[in-house]
Amino acid sequence: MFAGEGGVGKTTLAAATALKASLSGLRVAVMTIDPAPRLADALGLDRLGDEPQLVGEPDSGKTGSLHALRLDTSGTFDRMVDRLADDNTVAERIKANPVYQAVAASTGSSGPYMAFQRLHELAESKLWDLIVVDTPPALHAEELLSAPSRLAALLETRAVALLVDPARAAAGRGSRLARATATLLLGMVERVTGAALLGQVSSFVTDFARMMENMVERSRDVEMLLATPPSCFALVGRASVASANATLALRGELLDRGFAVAPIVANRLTPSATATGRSKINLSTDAPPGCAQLLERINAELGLLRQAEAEVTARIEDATSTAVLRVEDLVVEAGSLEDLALLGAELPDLDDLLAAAVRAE
Amino acid sequence: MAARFVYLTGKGGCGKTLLAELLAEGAQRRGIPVLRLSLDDRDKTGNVDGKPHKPTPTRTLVLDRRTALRDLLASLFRLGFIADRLLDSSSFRAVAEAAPGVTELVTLAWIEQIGSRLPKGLVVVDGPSSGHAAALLRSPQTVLGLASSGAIAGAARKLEQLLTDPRRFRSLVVSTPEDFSLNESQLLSTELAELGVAALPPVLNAVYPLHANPAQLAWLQQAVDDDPALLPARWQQARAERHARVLEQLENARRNAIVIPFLFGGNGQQPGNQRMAAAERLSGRVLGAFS
Repeated sequence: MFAGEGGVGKTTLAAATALKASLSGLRVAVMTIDPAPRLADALGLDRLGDEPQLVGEPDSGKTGSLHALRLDTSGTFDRMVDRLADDNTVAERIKANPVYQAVAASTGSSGPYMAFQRLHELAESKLWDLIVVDTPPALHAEELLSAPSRLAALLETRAVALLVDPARAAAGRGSRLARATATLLLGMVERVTGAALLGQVSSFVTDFARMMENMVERSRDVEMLLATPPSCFALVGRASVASANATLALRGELLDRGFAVAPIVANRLTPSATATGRSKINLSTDAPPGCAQLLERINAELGLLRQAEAEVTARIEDATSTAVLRVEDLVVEAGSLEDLALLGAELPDLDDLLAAAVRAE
Repeated sequence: MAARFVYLTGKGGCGKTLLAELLAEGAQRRGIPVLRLSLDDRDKTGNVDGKPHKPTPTRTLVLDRRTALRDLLASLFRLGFIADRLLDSSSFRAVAEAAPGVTELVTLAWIEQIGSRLPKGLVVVDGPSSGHAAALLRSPQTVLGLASSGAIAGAARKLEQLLTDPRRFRSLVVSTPEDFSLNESQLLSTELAELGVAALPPVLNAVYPLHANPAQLAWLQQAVDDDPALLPARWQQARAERHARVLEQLENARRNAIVIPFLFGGNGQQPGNQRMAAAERLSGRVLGAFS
């Protein structure tokens, strides 16, 4: 599970990791949420679809393979309704309900649930040795990971009963005072929401309540799968204070929830010359005028960038007592499978990554 | 005069928070009362160890969803105790969390009521990243589409009026040249415009300085083959050159962008004069667009 803020290169690293694992002989599926067009290009897929598509040429001599797919939130939602509804009439009624449409269309609120549903389908198919997920851009990881429990909480509360059959739900409760309060509250709520909305929510919840039990069950299955070795979360961030804070907070949340986390990846670092073995620059005689001053100026700036990055990575290492994986910026953006393979060479082997993952004690 | 609102949005990592700080600092230096609002209950301007780098010179408020929900309920029911009673009910909380548009509407209502406490002031909203930005601003319409009567519809209508008043509310789309795409930024602006939200000129943030002239660039390109130690320098200038091309592209498209240079020194330790110049430029352009 690749997690991290938007804009840190998470999708590209997920794809590079998936490609690398497939080259080592695994059958890999990589699910991205919203790939940049260039990544879809890099994977050789014009438009990633909801079904896994084979990346690269089929080769009978290879044991490994890479498939890629893109999570289609409302498509997955519709499919689930079709499968779980009692009959077609109910399915159509749900899909025509404005409340359902608002929920399904809002990736912010239904994305996390649907990512779990799709993951369940992928895991159940038993077609894959490794599933790499580029997690949806939830406002907080919390939103993604608490999806199953929030759903369960909604189901367990009396809210559903209250909306399905307000009179009975109110009558079924203890004292006359409590009953009176419930009726009063419902009246208040109706005055605020207007009768139409309450009716639509009620109709949606009635049709949906039974389906939700199934949704909760599947989400719980996936949650369990994610918490069981060798599943782990790979955290990606940039070496800036803001990004490091967000990544560390995310790491804490994941550990608290019992998941394993791999060492944090500090991505897109300023390239260093030392990797090439030499840092001293000899100006050739054909250099145009002013090059010595130019290089001095650029190197001073590069020094400031590296220093700021080094401070942040050192702080992350202090805070986690784990080494940070440093990945330097690609000179070109990953626009082909070769670029992704090049990036993959910078990354640790899958087994090493999984072995380095830690859990809360 | 009522408060003016600037709603910053852009991809994750584009520097929204830094720009919100700069805008607030610049406006404050011009003598305008400013509040910076953070919609992230984990404000990211502090250190990794949780302590702020330095006291922020401008006041910042961080959204507390529960309090904001209570305030909205209290104003809808006109009675605080009903709001408290509702919030005590786990059923109510579960429905409020799951119902579409509610969290977003609560957030907007919070932003709006803070503005009412800051007449003649500027409210700088450090908004969510692109994907969520439109959803937040669309919530009054979502709610109105579902409920056309009742107090909540009234609240939604009032918020819609604020969002569509260009004298009071403007969006500020931020991107870095790294992931700037004319189409994408146009798409976001169009999406916001369809909601009736007026846009400020787009901000191009963290533009690297191009130091090399064409002859030097050509040499750098070649010399790397003989001397790999030049690789980082070429990487840096190649990046600056890409940025220069983006600026050119913007000019050709007659998009009057606000350009903010990359502030070296990171981690909140940018040289004061560079930071001040950026704050000055940003606040000048933003406030100018309002009047």
